[in-house]
Amino acid sequence: MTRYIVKRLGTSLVTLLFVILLTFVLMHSVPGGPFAQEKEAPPEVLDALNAKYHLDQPLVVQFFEYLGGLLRFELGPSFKYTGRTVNDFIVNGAPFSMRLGLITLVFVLIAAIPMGILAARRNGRWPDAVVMIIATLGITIPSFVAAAGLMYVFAYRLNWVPTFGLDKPTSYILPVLALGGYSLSFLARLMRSSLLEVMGQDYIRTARAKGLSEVRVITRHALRNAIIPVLTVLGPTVAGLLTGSFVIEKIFAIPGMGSYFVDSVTQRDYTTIMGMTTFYAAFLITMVFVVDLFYRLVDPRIELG
Amino acid sequence: MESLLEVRRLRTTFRAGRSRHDAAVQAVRSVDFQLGRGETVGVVGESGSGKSVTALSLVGLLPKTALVEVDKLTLDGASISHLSRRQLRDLRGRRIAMVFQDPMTSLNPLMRVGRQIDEMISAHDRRLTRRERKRRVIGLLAEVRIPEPEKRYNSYPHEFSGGMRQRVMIAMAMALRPEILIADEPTTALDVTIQDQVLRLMRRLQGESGTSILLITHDLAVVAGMCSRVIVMYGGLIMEEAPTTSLFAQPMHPYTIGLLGSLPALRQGQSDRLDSIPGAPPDMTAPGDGCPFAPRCKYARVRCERALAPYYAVADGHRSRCWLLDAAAPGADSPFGEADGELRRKVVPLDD
Repeated sequence: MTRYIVKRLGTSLVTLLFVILLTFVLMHSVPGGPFAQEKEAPPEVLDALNAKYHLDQPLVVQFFEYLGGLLRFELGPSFKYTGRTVNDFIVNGAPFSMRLGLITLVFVLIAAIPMGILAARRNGRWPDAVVMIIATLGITIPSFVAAAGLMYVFAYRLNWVPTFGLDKPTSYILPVLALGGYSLSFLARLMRSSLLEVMGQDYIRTARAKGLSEVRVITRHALRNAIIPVLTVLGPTVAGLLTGSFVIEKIFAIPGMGSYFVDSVTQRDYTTIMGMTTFYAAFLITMVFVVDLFYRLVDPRIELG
Repeated sequence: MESLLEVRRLRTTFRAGRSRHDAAVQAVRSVDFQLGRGETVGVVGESGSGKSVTALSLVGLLPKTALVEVDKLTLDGASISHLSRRQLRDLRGRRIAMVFQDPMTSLNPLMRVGRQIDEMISAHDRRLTRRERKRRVIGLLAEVRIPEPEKRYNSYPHEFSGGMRQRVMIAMAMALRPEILIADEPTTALDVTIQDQVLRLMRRLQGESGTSILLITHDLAVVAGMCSRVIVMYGGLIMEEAPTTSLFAQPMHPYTIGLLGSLPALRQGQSDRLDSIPGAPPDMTAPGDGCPFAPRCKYARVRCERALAPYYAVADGHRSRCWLLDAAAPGADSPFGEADGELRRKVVPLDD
């Protein structure tokens, strides 16, 4: 187990390094720069700016300087907001983004799994049909369309919840629904089909042949087996919620990291792009790692090592 | 022999689709048989002949699309055909236990084998404490010759070989010393050497507990080694039933003759060719009025296609459903050999 964790940490670092390198190369191959503006600045000013931010040095040197900063957990100053560092953006934005993401994840899990179970147990009858209709809508409607629709009906027309910000507990309702809609639908469908498949397995017949009650057959034998595919997609689901939050944060004017990220790309704010990407990548790699460890707890057939 | 299980006119049909008008598959058309206390009866037939469905119908383990009807179904004299779901659950495992074909998929991969056997006990006996049950499970594992049973109690199925898993299944099935063990192709998925071990184990446990075994198989060699009586099924019907020795010595149905002819001969000097029965299994959605085997039977006559033959009693405990046994059937090119004329004089039609 320890060996596995050490090994995984090693591969995670390599993955992260590749992400950083790739982002760096792509970013610098896109035309324009952080100081390019409609009104040409005098060349002396540009030179001075470039020198200040070390942009006059060869790319290789810049890259290694950046890595050196990373080791000290310094993501560098923002090129656009003078006097502020990328660390500031993350420290300020992360709590909002993380809270929204976490609430959405918990909501998705506690709603999707029972929905899937209900649909599978009432297969072909009306509860199944209702769940499947909701799930199909959730998968086909893009989150930004759903967000606008929800906002129009529940915030503007009915005035039940605030339109933007995260000031009140009710403020979370619409962003969570818009952000989690896709994952909720996907996981509910997956849980349904997985449980249906498991219920046809031989070991379920064995459990019934023992004279176990249907409740025990499902809780002791079917659910644990059926949850495995759901666990498998949990890593990508977390990724989806995180990247999805860029758009949702923008629409609901939530001061999370997403809005900084989107702006930083259009403005070629090099350090912010790099810092955000690295932070997200590190977070995702950690989440996938945690999911893999969970996987081992549920399924004894999986050997880690 | 005292009759423990009695089945009369068992019919099982499967709805093919959602609609009431969809053609139903008549998997079991009318089956009656008895199982004596401590007896081992074999049920043979090719895939789709209805042998597994017959067994699963008895204990209500078929999916909801199945409709099971039976005129009489008694266990130890008491009817078990109209039990509530709860009563049926109480019966399953405790009085009628099952062992299935594929030990690789019949155990829950995520649960320790000890716990899976324990469940059989805890489902039916609430008085025992966890520790007492664990001790019993370890005893059962030792009984089916699992080495180091204390350690193996905590193993998962994937850590066991196929033969060991099947022994675990048998330990589980025999945990409560059931009156009947239904073994559905218990050795089909195993190597030949392991098959023998598993069959021997079943025989030993039967000797100790007096359990009756209904052994479903398509392997006539298994039947020869295990069963005192054999039921031959085809197209959802019993074609022939006989004591094992009579069936092998004097099969009285063309289908049985075909089955025996498709056995490989190990002795020298016999024909090298392995006979097969030409044709395909019957369409179970529209079985028609005649004998289901008639389209593949080389002795079939017009009568065979028009109506199903009644059972004819060939000898004591030996019955066969074939028009060729009728007194009016011509004796020429009979499948029953030289003894035909003499046999046919003894044949009596049975009331169906």
